Amino acid sequence: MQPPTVPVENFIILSAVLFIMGILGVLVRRNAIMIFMSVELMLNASNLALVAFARQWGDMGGQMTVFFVISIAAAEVAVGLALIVAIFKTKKTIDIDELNTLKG
Amino acid sequence: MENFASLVPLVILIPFTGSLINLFLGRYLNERMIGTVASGAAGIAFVIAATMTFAMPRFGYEGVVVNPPILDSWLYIPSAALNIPWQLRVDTLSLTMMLVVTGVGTLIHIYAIGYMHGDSRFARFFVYLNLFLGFMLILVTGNNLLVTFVGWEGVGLCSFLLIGFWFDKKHGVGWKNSNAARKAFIVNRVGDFGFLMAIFLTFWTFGTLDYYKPGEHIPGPVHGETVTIEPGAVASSDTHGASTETVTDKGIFGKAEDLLAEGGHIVHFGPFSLSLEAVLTIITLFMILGVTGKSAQIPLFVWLPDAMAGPTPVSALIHAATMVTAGIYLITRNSVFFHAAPLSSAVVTLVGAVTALIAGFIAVGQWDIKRVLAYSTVSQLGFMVAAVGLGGYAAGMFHLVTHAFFKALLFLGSGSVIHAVEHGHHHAHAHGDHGDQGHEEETPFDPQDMRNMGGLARKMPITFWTYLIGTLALAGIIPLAGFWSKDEILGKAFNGGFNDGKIEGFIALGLLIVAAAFTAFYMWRQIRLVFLGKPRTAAAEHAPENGALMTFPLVVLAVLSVLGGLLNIPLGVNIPLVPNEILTLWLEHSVPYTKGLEFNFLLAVTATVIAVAAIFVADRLYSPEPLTKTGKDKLEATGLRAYFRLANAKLYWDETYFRLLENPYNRLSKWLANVVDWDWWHDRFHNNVIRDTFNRLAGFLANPVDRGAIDKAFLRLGDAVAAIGGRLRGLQTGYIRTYVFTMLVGALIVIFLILLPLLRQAVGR
Amino acid sequence: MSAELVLFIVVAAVAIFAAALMLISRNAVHSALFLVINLLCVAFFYLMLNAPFLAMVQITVYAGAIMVLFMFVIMLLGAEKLGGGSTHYGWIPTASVILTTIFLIVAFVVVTQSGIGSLKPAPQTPEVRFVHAVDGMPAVDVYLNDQKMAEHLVFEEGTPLNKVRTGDYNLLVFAACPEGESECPDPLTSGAAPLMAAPFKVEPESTVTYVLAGTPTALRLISSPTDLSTLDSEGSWRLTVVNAMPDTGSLQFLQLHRSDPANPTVIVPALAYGEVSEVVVLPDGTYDFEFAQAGTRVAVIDALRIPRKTHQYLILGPEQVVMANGSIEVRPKAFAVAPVLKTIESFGGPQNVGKELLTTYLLGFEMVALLLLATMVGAIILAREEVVHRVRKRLVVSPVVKRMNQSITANAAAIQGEPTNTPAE
Repeated sequence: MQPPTVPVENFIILSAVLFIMGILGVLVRRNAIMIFMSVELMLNASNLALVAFARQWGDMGGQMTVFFVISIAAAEVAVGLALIVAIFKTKKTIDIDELNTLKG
Repeated sequence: MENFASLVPLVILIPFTGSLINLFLGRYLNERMIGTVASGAAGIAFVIAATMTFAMPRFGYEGVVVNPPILDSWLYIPSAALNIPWQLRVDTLSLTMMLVVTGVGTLIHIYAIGYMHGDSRFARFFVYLNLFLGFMLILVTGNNLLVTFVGWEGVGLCSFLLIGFWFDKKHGVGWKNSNAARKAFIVNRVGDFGFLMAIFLTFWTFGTLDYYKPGEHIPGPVHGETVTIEPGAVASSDTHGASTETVTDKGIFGKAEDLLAEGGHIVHFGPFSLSLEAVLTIITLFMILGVTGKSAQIPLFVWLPDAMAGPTPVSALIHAATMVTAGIYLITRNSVFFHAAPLSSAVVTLVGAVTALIAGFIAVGQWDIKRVLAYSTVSQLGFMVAAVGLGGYAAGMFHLVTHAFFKALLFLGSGSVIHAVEHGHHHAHAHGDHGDQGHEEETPFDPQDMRNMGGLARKMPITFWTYLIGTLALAGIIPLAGFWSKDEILGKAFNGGFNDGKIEGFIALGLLIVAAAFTAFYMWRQIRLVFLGKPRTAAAEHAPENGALMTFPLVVLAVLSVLGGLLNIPLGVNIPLVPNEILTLWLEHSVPYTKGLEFNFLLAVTATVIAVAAIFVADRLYSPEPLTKTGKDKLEATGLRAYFRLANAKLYWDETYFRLLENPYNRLSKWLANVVDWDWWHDRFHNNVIRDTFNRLAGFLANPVDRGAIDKAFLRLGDAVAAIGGRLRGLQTGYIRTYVFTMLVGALIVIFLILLPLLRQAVGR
Repeated sequence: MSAELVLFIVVAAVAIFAAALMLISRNAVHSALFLVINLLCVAFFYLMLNAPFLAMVQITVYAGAIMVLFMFVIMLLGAEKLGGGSTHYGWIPTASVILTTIFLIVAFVVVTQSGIGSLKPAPQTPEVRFVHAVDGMPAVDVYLNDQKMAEHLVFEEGTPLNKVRTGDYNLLVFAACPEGESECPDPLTSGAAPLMAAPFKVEPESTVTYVLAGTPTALRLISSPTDLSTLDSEGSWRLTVVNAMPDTGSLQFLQLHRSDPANPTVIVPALAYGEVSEVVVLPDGTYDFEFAQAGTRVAVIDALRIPRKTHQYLILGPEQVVMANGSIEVRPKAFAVAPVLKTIESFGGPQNVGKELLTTYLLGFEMVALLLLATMVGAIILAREEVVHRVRKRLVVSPVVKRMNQSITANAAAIQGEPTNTPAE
């Protein structure tokens, strides 16, 4: 492998920035689907960090982890969206501020 | 001798067997059979005793210790060094007692068949009689103090059972009988306490209670001479204790003799110690207490007159011939101890002499025929006790034997009289002498009161003549048995006083002579009241002579009373065909320190003269009729009436005991029960202190503590939890955004904490 | 400022921009599309980071499947129109922005100051192997100190690569037990004389092949570094030639061509005894090789089929041949060492990923598969129509159950002997 030309710190910082933006999206948006997409953004950010470090260490384990994360993210999205569909059917809304029947 | 001696367990077992047969099979047998079984048991025991007696001379009169087959290791506690085997001793002394007990016992058993005829509890009477016989035989054959004590207690029990035999008689008579029985038992207990203390001290001192160990020879000088002990000397029939000690272990007497011979032996009782002589004195003093209980001496004689409430055969057997002589036997057996404790011997002598006198005095004023005889028994026992106190063991035993004969005779005779008077009473009433009185009597007729008798000599000749013989024997008229034995006792007292210089000898001599005078007087008074003169009641008129079953023993005993004196003719009097001092020589083989006696002619004459004079006075006083016109005693008419009344009231002995002992005790006991226990303990302490305190404590714990504090604490806890829960509920907004924000904050905190060292490093750079 | 860096910055800017727009956009479909752009940028980064397979997976699965699913749902729910309205907890956005900014600063500081970039991966353990190239010498056991490196190594054979720690060792070569003998004394403890004993040094991170060469009496060890790194071209292989024939001069190593026998290609011009050639990369195929000395053929290997992506060793060693008259003559023989060593696959390449998935991460792989299955089933159940309806009309008893109840009561009545009444339906 040739020595990396782009230092790994760059990738990490980029990953952090994307992650932060994902968090902000989760907190700010009210649409449930938007929140899901923000979560996807967060996951991608962390995947990026993983792959960066995998290259840094020369360890395939990082890439394997990303592989699993992607597949599980897919599963999670499927179930989550199914849930949203189900909720929409009853509540006719996906505004999370309306979904507060678990209020203590 | 061992072979013959091994029969002795049978002597004990056969009366017990007879008792058991009558106990379990009594309901199926008729009176005749029951009586036969009982008398037969006594008779067989007598035969076996006689067999052993005849075997004794062949074996040198040596005493033998017998181990009965089963009960060998009776009390064996190795850790306390206690080994008391159940052993029996067959020697001349025990054989003497055995013969007396079984012999007289057999005659009385036969008599009782007729006497108790028709009684509802006929069988039980003979069960008790045989039981008594068995226990008495245990007493006299025991080889150690504890076996003797077993017999001691056993005869006390049987005495209780038999005195109170008619506990169910009406009109309060049954109560009187049972009271008398209880009195006998309890007074005996006091004496038993003394005996037990003596046993304990003996064990402490000597480590054993056995009289003699198997194979041991009797210690002490014989015949009053010291015998030189030569090794290898052959034991002849005259010398004893001559062989070298092949027996290393000795009984209490052997040990005592050895220790006394050494001298200076000290017995330790924990912190303090006493010399052996002092300990022996104490032991013997305790024994005297037991003797006064069982043999009815001062101060414990009070039970014997009341014991006359029992049937007459009981009185004859137990309270004349056998049980009351147990004390004499005890002292005789322990002659070694008493010899070594002159103080105790003196006490014994004085007690005996004083008792003899006082009892004789009281007997003069009694109206009940059996009471007179009871006090007479006490008096004669006093004679015996005084005799053994003076060292006259043979004399005492001689008097015991002869007294058994004529006292039993007198009692049986009185029983015959009573029986006849009762019969006459029923007879008279049945024949229409009711008249004014009707069938139920206001005052119950007492068949034992001599005032209801009189002139029975004509109605009951056999009884009369035998009774007369007994009276004369008792009074000590030559040549009847009582003369010889009483004279021997007086001679002992005389010797003791004049020859040995013992002061008690003088005192005893004087008291006994006066007592002898009294004896003669009251006995003749009795003759006059009962048999001579005219019948004073209809009952006496119709009193019949009794059947052969009752008169036969009387005759036999009368013969024995006449011939009994031949048993121990003192030296100096030669009667053809009769050796001198048979009994003394016989007893010497078992009783150390026994001495014979030379015949004191002067003394004998004096005594006889006094006795005859007393009879003469009594005769003059009480003829032609013994009672005055008003039914009082002739003595009351004279200036001696105060004394008569005193004698009649038994010197207020019982009343004094009541005032001094019983009443305070009862009052104390009532006070303890009612005040101390009930008031103080139950009412005050129990209720107030314990119960109320407990209730108050419980109340306190329940209400303020439990309900107030603990419950409140838990309630507050619950409220606090609810409050916290209420506040925390606010966290659950239901809005996802808040949850996510919280997660963010949490995650940032964790990341921050992880990165902290790194940040510090970065800042520090 | 290399081209990569420039590329990186550009793509990063695009990614961030797309993410920001995704967050801001009011239209959900627009947001989804911006997210797709972001995912594609991330896929590009995967390519830059030596993860080509993952890049493909990212595009296929993430951008291609997941975002499509998102689109479906957005369309289904008509969520492109978002309502405005009430904002409970209005403080959350502000607070979160502040917090995240702080966090970003912290992360920046940490990452730059901590020197992650200078961290190196752990050094690889060195590997060695031994090749027996001395005919006339029986099978040997090779020991390094007391570690047995080779057991019963016979002529023309080599061991596989063994991991050995860096350090100095004592190399011991013993004669192996004759075959068939079960009980052999341990040469180390029995004090047998080693055939060869020499100090041995293992360098860190080295992969070396050692050839036992020479004569039985004068053994020597020829070392040759083995290169197993990823080949640039897929269809090529590496070759090292070793001259283990004593008493020979310099030899030439030629590749013969069938088509042109007169012109062999000289691969190694000069190779003396004990020398090792440089590593030569050759394309895949069937080869004929020849050892020649001054034009004379010394030894030849025919029709050697070499698998690609390997590092092959060809050794010229002495061979003892029994002549007709019984004497033993030593002749040179060229042979390929078996086993052949494979080079490492490219990092991040599909082969590598596949190998890892199916060896080290097999369990995770299977579990994720099961998870996906369950998820699929769950999602179907969650989102189906009838459930909602059925929940609403739960109070109606299905006709099947009704008939069952009727039959049960009929049976019970028949047992009790009463006439059965079929209830009117």
